[in-house]
Amino acid sequence: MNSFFYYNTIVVVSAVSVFGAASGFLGTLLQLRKQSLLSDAISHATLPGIAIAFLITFLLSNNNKSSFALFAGAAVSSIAGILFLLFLDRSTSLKEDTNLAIVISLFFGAGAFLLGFLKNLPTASAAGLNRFIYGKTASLLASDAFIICGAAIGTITILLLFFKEFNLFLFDKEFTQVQGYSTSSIDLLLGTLTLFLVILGLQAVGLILIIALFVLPALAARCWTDHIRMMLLQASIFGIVSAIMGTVWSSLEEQLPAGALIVLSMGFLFLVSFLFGTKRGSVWTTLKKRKQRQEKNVDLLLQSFSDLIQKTPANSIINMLESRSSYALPSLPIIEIVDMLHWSSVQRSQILRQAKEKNLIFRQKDSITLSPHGLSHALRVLRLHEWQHIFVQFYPDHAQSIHQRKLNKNEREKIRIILKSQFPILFHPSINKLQKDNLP
Amino acid sequence: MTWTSTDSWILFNTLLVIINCVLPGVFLVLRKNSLLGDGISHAVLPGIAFAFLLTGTRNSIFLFLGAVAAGLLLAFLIEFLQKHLALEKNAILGAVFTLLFATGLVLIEQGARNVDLDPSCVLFGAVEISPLARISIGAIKIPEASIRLMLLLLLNTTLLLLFYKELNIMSFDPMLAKSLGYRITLANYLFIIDVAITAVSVFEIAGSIQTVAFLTIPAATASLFTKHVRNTILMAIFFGILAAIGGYMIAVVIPLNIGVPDTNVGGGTSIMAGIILFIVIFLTKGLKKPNVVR
Repeated sequence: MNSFFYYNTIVVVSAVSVFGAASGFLGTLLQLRKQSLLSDAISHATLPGIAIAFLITFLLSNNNKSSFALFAGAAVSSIAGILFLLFLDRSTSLKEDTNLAIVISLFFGAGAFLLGFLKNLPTASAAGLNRFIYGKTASLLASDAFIICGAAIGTITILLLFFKEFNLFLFDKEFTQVQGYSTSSIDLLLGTLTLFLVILGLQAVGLILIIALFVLPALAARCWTDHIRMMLLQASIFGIVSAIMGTVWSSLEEQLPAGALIVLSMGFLFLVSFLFGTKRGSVWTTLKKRKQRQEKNVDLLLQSFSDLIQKTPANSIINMLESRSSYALPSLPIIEIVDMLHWSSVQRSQILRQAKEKNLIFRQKDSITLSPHGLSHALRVLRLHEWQHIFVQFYPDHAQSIHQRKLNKNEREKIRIILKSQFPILFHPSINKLQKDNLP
Repeated sequence: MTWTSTDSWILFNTLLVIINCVLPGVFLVLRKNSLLGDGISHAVLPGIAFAFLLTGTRNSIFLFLGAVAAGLLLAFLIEFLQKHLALEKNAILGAVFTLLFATGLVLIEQGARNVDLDPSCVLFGAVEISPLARISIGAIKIPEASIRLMLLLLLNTTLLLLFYKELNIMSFDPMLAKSLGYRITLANYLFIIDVAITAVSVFEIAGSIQTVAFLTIPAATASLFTKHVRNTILMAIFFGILAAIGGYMIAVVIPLNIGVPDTNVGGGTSIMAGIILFIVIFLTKGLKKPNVVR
């Protein structure tokens, strides 16, 4: 525990957390651009460059600790990887995902091929290379950490400076072009920054796991918000928190790889966001969906009374509504409802119970009657149904988009008049009072 | 160098690996799902690590089952998250497979440290050692790996011949398949199981990420040429065989002849597959814009 306060550790933790913020920020932009896996392609494409640089430095001198050569090699080969990806995208009919898979596996394969030579060289120590593949956060030197920290801060600064342009570009590419910005140079800037950050982060997290730092914070932030500023802020915070959590965790359990622990901490934050996020959190959306489904089922139940209501003279229904008693309405056998709606017996008893709790129906042994409250609701459901019926008759072109297209005032009025002439009771004032929603 | 029977077996195994990968690979490419292969090949690591920790043996049956289960878990998680979040599929895939891979690394470091379960072995693979363990059948001694790969080839070919029509319809028009009464979800998972079994069986030999190259590159190359699925499969097998032979040449034969040590055969094969793809792109661009059914 004491070692956590060592100078080197503090420097490393702060560097990694600044890096987490930068990658979360950039990852959000990449996700909105739908290019999340660009970072994956870049990181895998660094392997052959690293191997070549390692071989060259090994052959020239026995000193294989030269980080600069490895970085340069990584940069060159990942640029080659991106160019190859662009080439495949532009000049073949292959799909985007296939191209990504080709670049990832081809470059990694080439790296494995080159590293194979290395393994057989007499005294090559693989330690320096494993650092790039699996990441060794704990063994980062303070000097490396300062470079990472500076680069990450630089990246964030550039992203903030060009935030307006990025924002415009992500949401409306054509408009950005019309405004006179060069979209390809914005794309290039995004790609360059990703490349830069991936290569610098390799030592900390390793080339297979680094993509998690770009993808996961953005996904987690997306569970909470749809606004770009909030998303960027949250993704950066998630990046920082997971970096700190992972590094501290790895300092507690020495033999565990810190890169993997950072990713797992990020995964934990993602899990929490996925469950409880206010925007897309699965708990809330599942509850909401269930409630909607229940309401729809109750509506269906009420709709099964429509035949009965239409057979009853309008006068007596108005009487019932005004005197708030519905005993004059005949009851409906449950068997008949089952025939109409094809519910399972479990579902049926559940829905009947819900309708009873809402005070919509009275239940006898094997039949149900509408309560006065339920009658108004049933009329409301009937009105919605009939309205849609007339809509389809008059505007068959829009029939498929019944929920999407808003009719204009005249069209609405037309349907309303027809509906009112056919079923005057559906416009009884007691129905309009029920819910504030937009009853047509 | 002199050509020995070991060399023949290595080449034979590489050929088996690549043909095994091509058969499901063609359909991965057709379904625009190539990255699923990438995901599954990463998910292999936690699968075998977990199976090892659970059973405490290196019995390959358990490791195999663990890896297949991890592949299925990956597919399930992707589908589940995609359904709930409705975000970019690739991002979700990237998130899930890195999380699984990180879990695998931690499990290995935690529990299997003192045992010979090396992540590098999973990543890079070693076809060179595949002929070592041999079983004698009659007079000849056949490497264990070859027998396994031949069984896998039998499985893949049988599945392909049995479900050729179904796979076709589902790849091109899932809605039609659904309306014809096929059970798409079930069939999808069966296909994923097949991909997982294939990936798991070959990763020791090919390396988990080079497996993706075998799954994707020959199939993609072939899909530039033809419109017919049958021709795509045949051409992909042809390109795969070319790549395997070429890969063995550049990884072993040529280096040994010029006095350099030999290297990773899987990597060499990926490079050759890439070179073939490159040549084919230039050839087809000379003809006309390829009009591939996707």
